[in-house]
Amino acid sequence: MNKEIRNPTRFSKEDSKWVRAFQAGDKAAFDPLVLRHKDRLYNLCYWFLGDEQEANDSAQEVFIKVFRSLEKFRFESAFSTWLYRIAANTCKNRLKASEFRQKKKRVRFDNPGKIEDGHYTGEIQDKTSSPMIELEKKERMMLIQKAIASLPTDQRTVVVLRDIEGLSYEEIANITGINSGTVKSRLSRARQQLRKKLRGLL
Amino acid sequence: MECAEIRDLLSEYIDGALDAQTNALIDAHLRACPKCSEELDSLKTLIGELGSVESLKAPDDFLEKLHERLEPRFSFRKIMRLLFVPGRVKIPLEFATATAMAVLIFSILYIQQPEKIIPDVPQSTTPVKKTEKTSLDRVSPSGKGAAVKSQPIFGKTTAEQPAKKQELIELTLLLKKERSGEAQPSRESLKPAPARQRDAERPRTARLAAPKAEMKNDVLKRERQVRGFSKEKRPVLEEESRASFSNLHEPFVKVKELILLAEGRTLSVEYEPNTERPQSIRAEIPARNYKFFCDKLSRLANLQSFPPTVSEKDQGTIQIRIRFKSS
Repeated sequence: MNKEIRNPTRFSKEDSKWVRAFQAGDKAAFDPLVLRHKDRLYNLCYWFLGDEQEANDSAQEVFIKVFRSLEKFRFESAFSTWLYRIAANTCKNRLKASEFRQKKKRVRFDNPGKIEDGHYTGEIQDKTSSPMIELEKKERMMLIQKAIASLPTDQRTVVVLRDIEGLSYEEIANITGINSGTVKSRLSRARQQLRKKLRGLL
Repeated sequence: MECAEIRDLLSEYIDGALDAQTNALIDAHLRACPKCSEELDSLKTLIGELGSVESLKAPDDFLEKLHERLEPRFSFRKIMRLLFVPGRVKIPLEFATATAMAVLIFSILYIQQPEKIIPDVPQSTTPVKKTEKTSLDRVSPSGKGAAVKSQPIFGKTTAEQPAKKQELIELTLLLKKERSGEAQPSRESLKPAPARQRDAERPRTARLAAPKAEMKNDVLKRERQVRGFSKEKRPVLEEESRASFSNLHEPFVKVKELILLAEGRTLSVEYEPNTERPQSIRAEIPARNYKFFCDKLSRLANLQSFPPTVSEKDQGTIQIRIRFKSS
């Protein structure tokens, strides 16, 4: 998983260096920030939205917002926390958009053997597996993604940040702007929902 | 604690986020409740599953696309990137190299060559006639002393010539004495021509037969006639005079015609100081017409030596000096 995010201190120092350079007038310092976070942000958006194209557009939108407001960043939180907060809000707004809701597809998870409208084609980093294992991985990933997509937005945000991205309760609270107690309860409900939805898989 | 309460706390229990007291309570419940234990195992498997999903990578052109969205349209950087950064259409390196080589070879072989070959042909037709006029105008009124040895006719062009590296080819045309005399009566406008001829030959014969005074008068008279200074000949038009003068030197005129025919131009004419007869012509002709010119020249009269061969590719134009030599 994202071990760098699990160790935010070192990650934050490196980010701070580029942020300060950007704020000093070196606009090219934005590129290293993008390169360092683009994959994680894209992954986060994908798990939020459940669609690659939407994830790409959202990730681009997030970085544009960051570029335009980085001058005002005052280091009150880690850069990554700030970035994820913008991402979470951007994805939430996308989910609310009527067009996106219309595109959403309903999938039943009661019988994982019958997959309808499966269209996952994402690039997977691990390429050492055999085709059969690869196919099985894709199938599992698609089922998990559909299960997460079926959760309410609040629960989805928390479970993605915690179980996919591996952030702490505190970080999630900072990103979402809710207190730790609410994070815990939302996470608990989300996990129970997912356990039920993915019973066949587990 | 009831099972429902325990199950709500299982998520935090797995994450180790509970205090020690609550933790101990749950431990005790799980030992006694197989359903809650089963749910705990199921949740642990789920969390493990979610944590092991493969991370997706952003597209390769993510940063590039981001720059496009961040920068204004048609910014300098964008244009530079479009020009120098390989775009979506990938051109194979081998193909690009082969094309570049082909263009280079084409430019060396075909683009540079016409610069050498193309002479300013249109200029050569009219100015050459002018040449005749100017050169003769200068000669005729000036007399023997002022005879011009080598008159550059195209002042500007000759000034430009030294820039080009051109070898001068010397050709000597062997003329028979009678030939120039025979040709004269055939022209209508040659009234003064016999006088000119006699002027050339008479002094020698007169010296032998007639008294000195008579001879002197005769020579002077004929000279005046030729130059248009005599009272009888004064009204004669310049054109007529020029024509007659040219026709006295038929080979000279013919050579000049040949130069024009070969799309060349006369650069200068050298006159004999005593007789004012053309001694040599210096001309410039395109290399491609050199062979033709030599061929025609050899038909006109015998050449003292065989004309040297010239490669057409090496030179755009060739400078030739044709000397007239009586045999």
